[in-house]
This record gives sequence, C-alpha cells and structure tokens, in this order.
Amino acid sequence: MRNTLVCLVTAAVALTLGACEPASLTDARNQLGRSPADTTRYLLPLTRDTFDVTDLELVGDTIIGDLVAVRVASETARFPVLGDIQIDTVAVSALSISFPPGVFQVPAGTGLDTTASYPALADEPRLQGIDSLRARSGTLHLTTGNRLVEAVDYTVTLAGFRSATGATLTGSGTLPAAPGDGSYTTDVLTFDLAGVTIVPGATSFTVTVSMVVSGSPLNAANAANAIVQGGTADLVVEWLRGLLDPQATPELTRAVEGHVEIPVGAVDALGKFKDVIRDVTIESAFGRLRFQNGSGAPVDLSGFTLGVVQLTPTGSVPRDPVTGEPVYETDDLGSPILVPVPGGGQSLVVGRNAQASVDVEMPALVDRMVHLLLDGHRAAIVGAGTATAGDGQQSYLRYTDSVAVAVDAFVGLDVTLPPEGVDYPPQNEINDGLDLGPDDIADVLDNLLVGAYATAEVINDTPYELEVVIAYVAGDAGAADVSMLPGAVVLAPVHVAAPQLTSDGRVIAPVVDTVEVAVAPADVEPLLTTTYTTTVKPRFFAGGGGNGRAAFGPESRAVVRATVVVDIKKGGAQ
Amino acid sequence: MRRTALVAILGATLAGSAVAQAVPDASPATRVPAAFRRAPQLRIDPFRHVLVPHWGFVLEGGGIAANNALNLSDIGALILLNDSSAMLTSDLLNTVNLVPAGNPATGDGQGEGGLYVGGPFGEHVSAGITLQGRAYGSYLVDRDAVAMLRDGNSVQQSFDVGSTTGQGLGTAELGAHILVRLEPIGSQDGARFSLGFGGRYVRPVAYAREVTTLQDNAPILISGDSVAAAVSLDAEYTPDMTTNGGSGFAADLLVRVEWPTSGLYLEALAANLGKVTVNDVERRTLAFSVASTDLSEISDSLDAADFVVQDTVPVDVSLPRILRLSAGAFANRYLQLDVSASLPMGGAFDIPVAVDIWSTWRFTPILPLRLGLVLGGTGGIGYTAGFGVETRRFYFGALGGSFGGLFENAKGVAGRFELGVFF
Repeated sequence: MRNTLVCLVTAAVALTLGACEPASLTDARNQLGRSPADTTRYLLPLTRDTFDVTDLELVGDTIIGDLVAVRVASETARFPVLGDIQIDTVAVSALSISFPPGVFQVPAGTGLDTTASYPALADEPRLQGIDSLRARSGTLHLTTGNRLVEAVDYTVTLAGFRSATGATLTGSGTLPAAPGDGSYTTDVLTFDLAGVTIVPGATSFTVTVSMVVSGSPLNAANAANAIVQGGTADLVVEWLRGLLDPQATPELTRAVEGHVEIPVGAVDALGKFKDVIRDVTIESAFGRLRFQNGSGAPVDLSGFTLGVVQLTPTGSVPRDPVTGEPVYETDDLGSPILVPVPGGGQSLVVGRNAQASVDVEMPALVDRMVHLLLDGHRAAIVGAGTATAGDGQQSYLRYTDSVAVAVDAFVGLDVTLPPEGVDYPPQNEINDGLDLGPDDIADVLDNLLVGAYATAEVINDTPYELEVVIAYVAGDAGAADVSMLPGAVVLAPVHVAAPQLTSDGRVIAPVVDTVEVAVAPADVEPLLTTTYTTTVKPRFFAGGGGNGRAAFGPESRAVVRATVVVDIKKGGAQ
Repeated sequence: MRRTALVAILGATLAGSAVAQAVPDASPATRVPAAFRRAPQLRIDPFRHVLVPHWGFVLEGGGIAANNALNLSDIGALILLNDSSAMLTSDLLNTVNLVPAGNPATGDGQGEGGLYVGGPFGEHVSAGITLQGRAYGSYLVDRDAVAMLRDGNSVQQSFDVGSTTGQGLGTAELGAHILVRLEPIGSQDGARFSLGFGGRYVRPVAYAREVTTLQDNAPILISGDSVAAAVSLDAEYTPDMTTNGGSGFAADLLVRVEWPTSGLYLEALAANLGKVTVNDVERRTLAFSVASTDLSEISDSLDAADFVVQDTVPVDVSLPRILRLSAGAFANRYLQLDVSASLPMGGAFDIPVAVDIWSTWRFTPILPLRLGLVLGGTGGIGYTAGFGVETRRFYFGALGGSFGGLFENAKGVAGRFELGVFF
C-alpha cells in the first residue's frame, strides 16, 4: 500500500515536473532569473588586521611608564674593588745606633754587642689605619750602614711581619769595616713579602749587632750613628683589615674600568622592530644598573660613566694611543656618548656586602649600541670611574673582592621617524574565499558582477600617520609579500592622518577613517576562489604633533578592516 | 460519546413525526442527492464519504502542496540544471531571489490515500470505516535567513534564523466516523441538521523534524570583516520507517445544517484533534559556534561541527488541527456555490488560512463540473477544477488545483480522485 502510494505520487510529480522542464540550460537559467532585475550588495571580507606591539614579536617586553620597552641587554660587568692594589714605597723608619766614645777604648779583640729596636712602620701613615694585611707579593729592602772600622755582624728580627707559616721574619748579614773617614759601608737584606702578614701597629724591628773591637782611634769620631738602618717596601695586597680610611690610605681610591660585550643576538629581542629601528632614532632608552658589592668595605663610586665602544675584531676595547682612554662612540657633535651614573654629579655608595640600584636614561647610548649591533659590529658597554673603598670603619678587603654591575638596557618604542617614514612589519592573512568553481567564477565575473569597490576602515591609535597598502592574491601565499607576486591585486594605498599627540608623542585620541578604493571587477576573482592571501603593509610617518617623535604605548594599535563591496545582478532574465 | 449517541437516537425518533414538512419539487437542491451536495475538498475531510446514505466503498487519494517561491517551471529548471551539473551561483541567487521580499521561504503539503467502507444504519445514522495513509510536511526558512542571501549583507548584518523548521510525519490510520441526521427541524422545508463525530487510531510510520535555533538568542552577525554565529540544529527523526513506533488518536467533529429547498447549508468541521506519540525518535544536535575575524576559522568550525546523538525518546506530535467553516447554496438549478475557510488551530505542520470557493455546474445532475478559486494558502491565489460522476451506484470524482499561477507557473498543486461503488 505504502509503496504503491509512493510510486503513484512519484510518478505524478515526475510527470508534472517533466512537463515543466525547460528545453535547454539557457531556458532554465532564464526561468530562474524571471524575477524583476535587481541588484544586491554583498560585503566580502578582505582582511582585518590589528597592528600593535604584539606584531613586533618583541621578546621580554615590558611597560615602563606608559611606554613599551624591550630589554635588549642584560649583562654583568665586574669592577675589582681592591684588585692588584699596590702599596709602593712603604717607608721603613730610620734606625740609628750610636756608641759611647769610650766603648771602643778596650783592648783590641774585645767583643762588643748591642741591640736596638724601633717601630719600623711608625712613619708610614698609609698603613696606620690598617690592622693587618697580607701581601700577595712584594719585597722589603732593609739597608744597614756601618761607619766603624770593624766589620759588624747583625741580625734583624721583623716583629709584626709573619711568614705564611707564622714565623717572624728575621735576617742577618755582615757589614764590612768602614775606612773610618765617616763614610758607611752597607749591606742590604731583602725579604720576600709574598704571603707575609703584616700587622703595622705591632711592627718592631730589632737589630742586634756584634763586632770585635780593633782598638782603632778612628772609631771615636764615628761612634755616633755608627750603625744606621732604613728601608722601603713595595707590596701587593692580598687582603687587608682595619679601619680603612681612604684619606690615610690613598691606595684605597683607584680608577676602575670594566666592559661587557653586548652579544649581537641581543637585538633579536627587538623582534621585527629590529627592521624598523634601522631607520629611526631611539628617543627613549633606559639602563637599569644593579650594583652588588661583594666586599666587606663600602665602595664609593664617583665619576662613574657608561659609554659604548665598538670593539676591535679581537674583542678589545679600542683605546686612544695617547691617553689610553677607551674610544667611545660619539654623538652627532663628535662628543663621546657618556652616561653619568647615577648622574647629577652625585657619587654612588654601595655598602659592604650590599646592593644598590640605579636607573638612568641613556637613549643616545642605546641607540648607538643597537645600531652598531644591527650593522654587525661588536659592541660593548664600558663603565669607568673611581672606586673608593672604606669609610674609616672596620672593614675587610680581599683582592678578589669586586663590585658587580648588572646592566639591563631597555629600548623604549619611542622613536623619531625619518621624513620618508618606515615600514611596519607586514601581516599576511590566509582566508577562505567563496570556493566557487571556474564556471561559477566566470559566471559571477561575466554575468553577475555589476560593480565593486573596497572600503578600508582604519582606526589609527598609533602616534603616526599611516599609509596602508593592501594586496591580495588567489591561493595560499604563506608569508610572502603578496604585492610582489604575479597576479596580485594591489589596492591603491590608504592614507590615514595621525592622531593628535602630546608634546612627547603620546596619542590624545585615535583617528578613525574610512576610505573607498576602486576595485576593478576582475580584481574580485581571488575572493571567489577557495583560498586567498592578503598582505597588509603599513608604513608609518611622523605625525605633526610630536616633532617627528612618537612613542608606542601598550594600547597603541592600528586596526585595518578591508571589505570588498560587490553589487550582484539578480533576476531580469525575462 | 454516550451523550452524543443519545442525541442521535432522540433525533432519529423525533424525525419520524416531522417528515410532513414539504420541500418543493422544483427546488434545485432536490435534483442532487444530499450526499453530493456537500462541497468538494482538496484538503483533509474525514466526513467526506460517511454522508453517502448507501452502503459501499470508496477508494481515494489526494494531496496538496505549495510553496511561496518556486513554480513548477522553476523546479523543472533546477532539476535540469542539477541533473546537468550546471548549477551556477547565479542560479542559486536567482532562486533565492524568487522568495518574496521580506518573507520567509515556506512550503507545506499534505497527502492521503485509502479506502472507505460504510453505509447507513437506518434513515438517520450512517457510519463508515476508513483505512488510510496520511502524510504531513512543512518547512519554513526564516525571512532573516533568506535575507542573508537574498538581500545581501550591506544593509543588514545581523540575522536571525528565527523559527527555521522542517518537519514531516507519515501515518497509517484506521478511522470510524458516524453521522447522525436530525431532520427535519423547525423551518418551512424542514432544515436538516447533521452531527458527525469520529475518531482515528493513528500509527506513525515516519517522523522527522529539524529546528534551527540561535544559542543564547544571539543573532548571526555577518559583517564585512567578521562572522559571529552560534547556531544549534536540533534534529528528531525515526531512523527507520515503521508502524510499531507509537500510536495516537485523533478526533473529528462535524456540525451541519442544511435547508433542502435552497440547498443552503452551513457547516463547521473540526479535524485532527489529537496527537500521536512517536516512539524511538532519535534526537541529535549539531552545534556550530564561531566568532572570528579570521574567516578561515569559520570553515574549520563547520568542518568540526557534527551531529551528536542526544538520546532516543518518544515524542508527542500534535496533528495539524483544522477548523473549517463552510457554506453553500444553489444559485439556480445548474449552479451551486460553495465557500469554505480552513483555519489552522495549532499543532504541528502549520498551514496558513485558505479560503476555497467552488462553483459546481450541473447541466446534467449526475455530471457535475467544478471550477473554483483558492485564496490564501501558501502558494497564492489558486485555480481549481474538477468533474465527477455522481450516481446512486457509482461515484467518481477528480479535482485538481493550481496555486499561484496556472500550470507551469503554479507554486502549488493539488489533486484528488475518488472512486466509489454503492450498493
């Protein structure tokens, strides 16, 4: 029953429709197009791109103030506080031994001994504030003189000077007999101070002399100051301890210099902004300097500056052959680009085993450094100044102690553009088209398409004037610049004015503009295919409000919405 | 039911004392047996045959279907283009453009076929049994959804899928209908009052329904640079055609009063009062959600979307309830005029109001020719025609209709045949 009914209905429908079937495809199309002629407008999305800092693929970007910034370098330089501090020409106090005249009026062959002690370092103020020190190296030269006509044996005990084993240094020698005319014969004892611990306050040299009296009458005239002793020492300090007073010990104040190479790859953190930055001048850059004093003495950094140098091919800091100073990169006026730290003529005191942090603005330095790196040069940041250790309080310094300076250099996206503008990294979008077959595409282009144009709405919340070029091509072009491909449709550039800016280049209010761009009917074809690729290329120009300078904030963006508007003919076939 | 039967018996008893009221012999209505004086219908009419006061059977079949956009030539053109694999975008756009502006795309249809067996029980009661198959179907594509293609997205970019629905139901039915003639009653020629009632046991054979809804009532946005849509397609259907998938009951009622002299009659018919429970209905949902400015994500989302079977449950389907008000009279001895308005009273498969106007020409009483008009409905103004052979022993009727235009310009068609033999 059911099947019979279905068959009957199917037959009836087939019969009816068969009778109504047009004779040809043309007739069929005319039949469907029997409605009155009409035009319908469709909006075909072309692209929608938002350009903001995320497109720059920055690495480690941050917000400083209202500015987007990128840390392009994070390197640490070390400045030895003590280093190879050297105390030269340490003066040993003079010793003079005199004999009473009658002491020689004894039978010849009589032995004569005497002993004298003296505070050997009492006259060396540089060591007075030092409780103790150990020398890494150095020598002490003790010169002993004799104007007696007898040869004199002598022994010197250097109380306050202890060897690495704890033994008090001693030395002995023989002073030749003098001619008796008042002149001295001398003997020099040399002590190696390497590893010797010196306690200046407890230093006392004891000299013991012995001789055999000859009975010469000449000794009577030479008995006064018959034996004299003095000396000097030069030493390199391994450590020192005490109430370190730079005023008393000038050696605690020394020039320091260090450099750290910024790897070429550091600018990779700028992502695609690296391409932009070649043509611009960086107006905002910051250095965040963190000082870590690893010594037991406070360090006062004064006159400390940062500069940038182009390293030699071997990685050395280039130096002026005359002055020996680093050859710093210079600004447009030829002056070295030097950034005082902390600036304002101030010095920076880093407490013992303490940290200190300083932020400095250094746009010129970073701009130069980045451009050096972008040009493939080796660049280094050089820090130089004067470090003074000690404050008169108990301190302890080792030659290995240093102040480490970690330099984080941030590039702010605050630039001055050249008059010709700069290209922003283009964006590609791969879109699904209407997926029409070849016949359909031909049908649309030949029969249906009445007209077309493109609209581009641009919301410009960047501080720049914008020029946007939109191009599209059928197929998946990947990341290639579509405008360079054969068969690409390149729309006329869209110009959008810059927003009003504050004096330092910040956007006051975004600009929204809509521009219509003519599109030839044949240019619609890529949109009808399965896939099409668009490339949107913005080019930024300086707006009028910032004197060529503008800054990217976290909210800065340009939104480009492009739509192709097509008018499609319908009906009107009959 | 018991009360109705009591009224019928009382009426039959009273009728015997009232037959003395006279009907003029020249009355045109007397030329036509009462059973055939009722207006023909291209639509469902459960009491069609039980009015025949003779034992016999009738084979019948018919259907009516219409839409508001495509005529037969359009459909033929689409078939030709599709069969030739030559369908172009312009053809589809032109097809959508045929939907009247500002309207949804709609279509509906009903069909039936079966066998009636019945006859009178005495002078005042007739009863019959019908064994039929019926099918109902309708679709509606919301005007917003149509507008997306028809009117483009330059002016309107927010679209609602509204109540976009497609549904169909096939049933096998066994019905019993009784007509009680209460005649004559207080008028000069003894107006004849008839009361009919009946019921049908309905077994669903197949059922399908798909409804598109917007998630969270968020409209579809199609702008020049982005698309946002969250659409759910809820489908219910019986995977297999079966007669074991549930049951239901439908009641039909008829009230008719007729004045024999003029042939004037007034009639009210209520049909399909009931619902059917369809068992083993598989419910599936396809959810498509996308909000993107990257249009390639849209196709990805569509590719990923798939129907998810929710459950298999019994579903109650209300049959399309109809209230039909009819009236007719003889203009002269040759011409009978009838008019009926079929009003939807809810239920599934909504059918718009339709008014059928018939003129029946009886130059020979047993060979009526019928011409008519249909106003309203889905397809627009329709033209109907038919003829019949109406004798004591034999009955044949054929009706046809063309809506929204004639023949190949028709947006809807209807047809019915009836073949009866009476003893």
